[in-house]
Amino acid sequence: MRWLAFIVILLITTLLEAGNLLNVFAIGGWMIRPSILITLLVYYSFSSRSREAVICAFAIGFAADLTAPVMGPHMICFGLLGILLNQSAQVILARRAVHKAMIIFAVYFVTETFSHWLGLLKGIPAQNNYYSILFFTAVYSAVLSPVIWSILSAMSGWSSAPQKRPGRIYD
Amino acid sequence: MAGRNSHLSNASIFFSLFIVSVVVFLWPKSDTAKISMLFQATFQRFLAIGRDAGTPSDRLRPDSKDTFSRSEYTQLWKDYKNVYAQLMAVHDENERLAKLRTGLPQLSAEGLVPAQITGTVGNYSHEVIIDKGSIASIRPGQYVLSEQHDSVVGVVSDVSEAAAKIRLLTDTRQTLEIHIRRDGTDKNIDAMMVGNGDGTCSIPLIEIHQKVLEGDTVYAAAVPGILPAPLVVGEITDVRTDDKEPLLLKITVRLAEDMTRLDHVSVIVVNKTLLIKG
Repeated sequence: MRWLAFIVILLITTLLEAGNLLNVFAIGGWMIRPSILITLLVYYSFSSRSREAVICAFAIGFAADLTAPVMGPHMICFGLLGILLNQSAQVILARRAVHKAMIIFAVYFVTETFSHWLGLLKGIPAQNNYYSILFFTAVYSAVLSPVIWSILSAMSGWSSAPQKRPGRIYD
Repeated sequence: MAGRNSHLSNASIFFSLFIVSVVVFLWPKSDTAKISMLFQATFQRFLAIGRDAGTPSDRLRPDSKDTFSRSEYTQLWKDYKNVYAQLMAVHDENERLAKLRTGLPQLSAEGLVPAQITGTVGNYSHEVIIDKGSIASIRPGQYVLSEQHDSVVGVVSDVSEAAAKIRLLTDTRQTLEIHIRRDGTDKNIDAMMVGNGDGTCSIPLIEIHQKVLEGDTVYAAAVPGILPAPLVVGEITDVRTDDKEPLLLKITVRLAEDMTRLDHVSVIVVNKTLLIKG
């Protein structure tokens, strides 16, 4: 795995997530925007060796915290989910677009829910409609995830990101 | 890279990073917030890409001599309401201070710090990042105005040296002290306004005997040292009896400024030396 390439991809994704460019794709009165970092987390967790997946997951969590109101919750949740996804890659196969979308939906919902709860512990004020926005963001991210996944797969040729393990299928 | 660190087991790496994460999480928010603010300040040029590129002059250009664009109408409406608010404030002042001729304090250009919106904070809050911070005398709690300085759009919530977070009025955690006033009357209804998270705001706890109607204007209340004179915030678009609390009204406010189109704002850093007397 080329770490420099990973860092560049992560930086671009973080800038997209924190910046205004994704507002172009925002929908509804709640300005629902897709999350790209969550697709990055799932992609690298499934495609990398355990050691790399752990580092990637925490790094992506750190990037997610940079775009969030408080630091820490995403690092913890992304790190835990990343290693869990990596270990369960033997049984969960993300072959078809719908499978990828379902995994992204579930992972986003779980990580953001737990991050939100940790944020509340840290003193972030509760927000109305949080779970509605969470649900629609998860759906939006899931819908777009096969496209982002394909882009990451295409870039993997340049970055040599996924080092295939025997007995696994990567799309 | 991983191969060179083979003396560390996967579990060691995981637990090391997990402990780092927990430490970051438990570290005081005031310190860790500086990391994200540093990121925002460092990459603000890239983060600002994609913001609405429309300039005020573009928005004010009418389609023809007989029609007004929506933005021009909004602009004129805000100007009219602000002048009206100032007129009424002067009227009140004159009545109270009969023989003393005093004008309302006005904001001088030096009391406003113009800033560009460079980014947003997460997907869940209506918060934005601006490219000015404590170096430019910006402090938490200061009011933020639209680019034309004619309406309040938010409040500074967090500040670093080179950047600051603005919590927009539409954020569900943002409250604002306001007055409701109808044209042609001199009676204010004081209340608090809270964001709905969907581009509108609500005014809770107004009893049904209060005469609040659709079309009434909402002004941000003057706050000594923060906002020298009332400034328009929006217009009441819906008034109905609250289903849960039948003795209270459920009031919806449409803000004068479209928060999704904000590109530049100005922060009021007013103090006594920066005020001019009208």
